Amino acid sequence: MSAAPNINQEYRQQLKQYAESMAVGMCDGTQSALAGGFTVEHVKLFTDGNLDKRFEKLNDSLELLKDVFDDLENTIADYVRTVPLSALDTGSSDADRFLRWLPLRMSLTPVQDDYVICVQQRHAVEEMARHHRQAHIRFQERSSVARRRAASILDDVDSMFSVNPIRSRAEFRTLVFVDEQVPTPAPVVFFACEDQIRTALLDPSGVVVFALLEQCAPVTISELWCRTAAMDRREVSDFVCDSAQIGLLANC
Amino acid sequence: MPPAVGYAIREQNRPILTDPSINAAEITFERADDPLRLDRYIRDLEFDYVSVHALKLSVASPDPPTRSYIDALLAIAEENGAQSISDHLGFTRDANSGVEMGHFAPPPFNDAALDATCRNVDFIQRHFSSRHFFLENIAYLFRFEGTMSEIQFLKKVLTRTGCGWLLDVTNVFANCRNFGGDPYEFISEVIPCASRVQMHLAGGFQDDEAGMYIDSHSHPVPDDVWDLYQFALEQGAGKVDAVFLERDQNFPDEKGWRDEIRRVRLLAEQQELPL
Repeated sequence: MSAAPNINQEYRQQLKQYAESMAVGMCDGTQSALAGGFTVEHVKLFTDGNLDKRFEKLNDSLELLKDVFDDLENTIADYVRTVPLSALDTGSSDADRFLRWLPLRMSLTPVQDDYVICVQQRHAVEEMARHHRQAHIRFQERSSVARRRAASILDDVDSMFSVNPIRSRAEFRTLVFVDEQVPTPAPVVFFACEDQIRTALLDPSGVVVFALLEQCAPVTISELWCRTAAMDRREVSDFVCDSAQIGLLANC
Repeated sequence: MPPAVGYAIREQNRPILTDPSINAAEITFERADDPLRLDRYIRDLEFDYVSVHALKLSVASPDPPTRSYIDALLAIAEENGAQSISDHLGFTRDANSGVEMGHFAPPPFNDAALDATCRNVDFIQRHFSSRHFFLENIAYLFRFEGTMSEIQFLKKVLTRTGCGWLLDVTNVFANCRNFGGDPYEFISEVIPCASRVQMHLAGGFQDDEAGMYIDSHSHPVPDDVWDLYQFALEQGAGKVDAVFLERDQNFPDEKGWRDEIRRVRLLAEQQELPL
């Protein structure tokens, strides 16, 4: 026998009430629903443990921000007690929500903004790898060869190149993460390399070549030379070799 | 055949996973879900039995789990050659568009929760097809008012859905010790309703402030749980597929890891010996 539809609806409402209050540690609403012998203190043990774990996970994944945010731990603690974890939270989705919530709570300096961008982009790359795991693995297999042979990668002009599929583009507003003196905003690409995430700064010609590669790869170097006829061929070749060496491009 | 025996894999026990007493492994999905990882979670190891242990199917929620989560579980299972997938008898969220509590709570043991749980387990089993699904009894710190006991609820879920029971021996021990009830009766009543059985063993500690035994996976398995484990092996004879030892804190040294799993193996093999 199945429960009647209205009983199912009541159950949905019941769980909504419990979950919404317990998700932010507000346990008083559960008192009347508890079985005999149980008190709100029992529920509080459960919710405090959950909030502590959530805090620790956020604290770990936002470690980088501690360099530029005073009192980050208290800010995270406020967040977990204020904003409930979304259903079906996976990977770094809670940290990303925190980063969207942060500017609503305080105005960020350009340097703080770049730190936030850095963490967000790293999460974006991870999320991409999660959803395209086979593409990530296949590319890394090819890239491990391409990285070793980067110097001779152009020996065969008919060899095709593809761009690392696990990547994300952004612009830094400051030079806090950039060694060189370059104009800002500075275009960067975050990408997976083996099981790490790397960042590459694109110079003005690199931006042009990379945009072309994103648009038409897989492509041969000769075709790329044709498409960048106005540019110095050596500059294009160097970009391709350098990109292969760092794991941004690989032979197909 | 004695059940396959192994650890829930943690980085700390990887060095001893080739111990001859180990022929099974449990993969906690949330740990294996490292998107940049290139090799299999179990790497180049081979086991007779592998199970993927999930935390967020939330089987007692009114909504079924999402296809994307189920597909992600299946992908990890496929990659590591897992025969089964398991999760907990509880809810971690109210609905798919709602909020997540961060850990599973027991549902109110009533008809509506039973209906939702069975509907979701059926849904899950349809999608897992050839892989067995096991449902674990949880250790809880509180319980909602219901219309039936946990034993009755669990028996009905197992009977109606045909899914396996991941009998967490320590959880049975902890709940009975904390809130009353006979752990032996719990096991002997429920186990006949289970089509297949897996087991979890772990050790916790007595929190005097809370006045409760906390299933923290932080200590060796206590003697009371070993006794209960032996009893569970007898009761489940012939249908226990695997036994997994869990440890998440205060990790032992190499000898400690090996000694405890060898005891799990020894007791399982003794159970198989003819009288």
